[in-house]
Amino acid sequence: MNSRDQILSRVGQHRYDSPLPDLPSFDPPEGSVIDAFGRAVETTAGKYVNCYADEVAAHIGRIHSRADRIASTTGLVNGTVDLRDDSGSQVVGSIELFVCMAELGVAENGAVWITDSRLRSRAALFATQHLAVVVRRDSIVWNMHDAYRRITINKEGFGVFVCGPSKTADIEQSLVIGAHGPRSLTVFAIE
Amino acid sequence: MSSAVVESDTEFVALPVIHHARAAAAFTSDAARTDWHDESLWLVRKKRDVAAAAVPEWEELRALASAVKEHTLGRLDEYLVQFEKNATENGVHVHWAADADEHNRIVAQILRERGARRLVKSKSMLTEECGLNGHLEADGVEVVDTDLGERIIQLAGDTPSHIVMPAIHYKKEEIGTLFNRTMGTQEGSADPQYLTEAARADLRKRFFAADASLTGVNFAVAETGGFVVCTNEGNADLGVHLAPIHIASMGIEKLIPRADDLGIFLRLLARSATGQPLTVYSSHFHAPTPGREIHLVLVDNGRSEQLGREAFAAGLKCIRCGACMNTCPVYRRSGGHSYGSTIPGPIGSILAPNRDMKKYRELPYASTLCGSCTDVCPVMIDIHEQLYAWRQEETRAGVQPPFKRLSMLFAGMFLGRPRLYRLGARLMRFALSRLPRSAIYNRWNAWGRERELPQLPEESFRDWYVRTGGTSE
Ligand code: SF4
Repeated sequence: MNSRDQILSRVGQHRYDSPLPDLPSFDPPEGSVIDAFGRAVETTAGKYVNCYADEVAAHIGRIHSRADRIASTTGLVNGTVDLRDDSGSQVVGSIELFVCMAELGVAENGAVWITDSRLRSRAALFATQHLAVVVRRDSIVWNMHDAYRRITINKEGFGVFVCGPSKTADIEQSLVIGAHGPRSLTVFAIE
Repeated sequence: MSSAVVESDTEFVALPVIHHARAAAAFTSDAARTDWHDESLWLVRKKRDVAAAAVPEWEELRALASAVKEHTLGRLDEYLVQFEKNATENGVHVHWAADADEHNRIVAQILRERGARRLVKSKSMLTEECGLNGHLEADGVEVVDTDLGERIIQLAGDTPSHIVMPAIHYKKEEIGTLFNRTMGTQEGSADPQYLTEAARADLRKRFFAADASLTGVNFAVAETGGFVVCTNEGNADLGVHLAPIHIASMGIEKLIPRADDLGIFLRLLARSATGQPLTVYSSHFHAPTPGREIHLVLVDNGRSEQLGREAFAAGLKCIRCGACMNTCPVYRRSGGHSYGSTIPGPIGSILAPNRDMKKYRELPYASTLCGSCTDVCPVMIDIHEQLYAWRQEETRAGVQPPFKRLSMLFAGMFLGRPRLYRLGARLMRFALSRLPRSAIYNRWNAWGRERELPQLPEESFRDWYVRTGGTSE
């Protein structure tokens, strides 16, 4: 017997019945879910900007005034780096600021859901020095249960919840922002 | 760093036994360091408390998570087949490994066939369990651990002492010295920000030069054939998306049935682990980008056997958050290495005997049975009850050392015979008040090694009860 069949037959000897519970749903607390989202983003050491779509570019110009190499996959911001599906690591590794749209935001933790179609290059999202993500206010949900009800995780080959800039506390539990991934995250909530 | 005291067991001519108590004694001999270790972990435990208390439905989530895992384990064969089918349809190569050795051979072969020499790895306790790094290095593969904690461990030639914070036993000054030696950082610098930056620069080169990447798996979803990897640093994704080959190793117990079950588990995992509401990255992998490969290795390595042990199968529900370690008074003051197993702490102590009851026979005793681990466990594993059950199991199986066997035999004899017990107690009271200190505090009195025996009252409870009929005087 090969290992696959061996494992399956061994596991199969120990079957039992135990019910699969229904998926839960929990009401949001009182107050604005959008505001809760903004507060949560800030708790994760991210910057939060609530503005109109046509203001995003100006905000980015101000916050990242020194960034020359900008890759953008959203029409809201013009990039300076030509990022393609097949961009090599040289291009990806040189990005100072990456800007993209998120499909959805989660108020309980400040996370945003980003998938392949908004990325063009998966690596860019992690190799960039700084990250800016734009999410529409009407696509912000309260918690992770609501988020999973809204998204289809296998619609695209890759999807990720991003919750703050990359961080580590592996040296004596001191929090350091900017471990291997982006050193900062700005989340824009637009109408 | 201290590692567990392993030595051949003199009472049995057999495998080496892990002596937790001895290793812990070595750890606690540095009192200041023990306090520091204790406090670091307690801080994490407190963060977990704050995060859990902020979620009104916390207990409901724990019950749900436990039920989902319990259900899945009961039909694991079905879900494994469903997962394999869906993953394969997504374009993922699925491999099966019956044990650690087969897992290592599969990974080595994938790399060899593609001429991959440089592998970047993110944190995976499973590959630690399998001893993958050594296997690959013998094959001429350069393996770089990229999680900062694991990188520290790798550069130091050490092993992780915690499953979430692998280098929790290192002081920043020690890391400064290590980085000075291995990466040429400034001598005497111990600033975490500076040291992290140095590691970032060093590892970035390696990420871009890698031929392949390897990650663990936090959850695999049967209905979609995808899997989720949770990290804070971004190292897993940087490795995966830059290198053309992604290998993911997972224990077969990581499956959950539905995509929406992830909501339950992701809400619990980071809050329990570090007090964050979610890890920075929760990456969902279903298909590789065109021209690239994803390989998924499903590993059994004793899990199917554990599934058959009714009293201990629930240990397979573990989502590796580390909360039981952070809360454990014994772990906090004895350090992860004292357990001598890949997974230390309360959960390690109920998992390890599944592999080798004799070798790990001391681990179920590395507990006060206070139950704090069970209280914080996000999937409600009855950890402290299993610790107790393992002690009984060991006695039944006859793997207890002779001294423990004898003392239990005597204790059973006295406690089960009221007359004998009374006589013994009387003799004991008499003896304790008259014998010289050296006769009481000796090598047989393990309790008295660090503590004073309590002062005995003049009259025993029974004598008082007989005398007064239980009315207060
Ligand atoms: S046993 Fe529970 S508390 Fe301990 S690591 Fe596993 S899931 Fe976390």
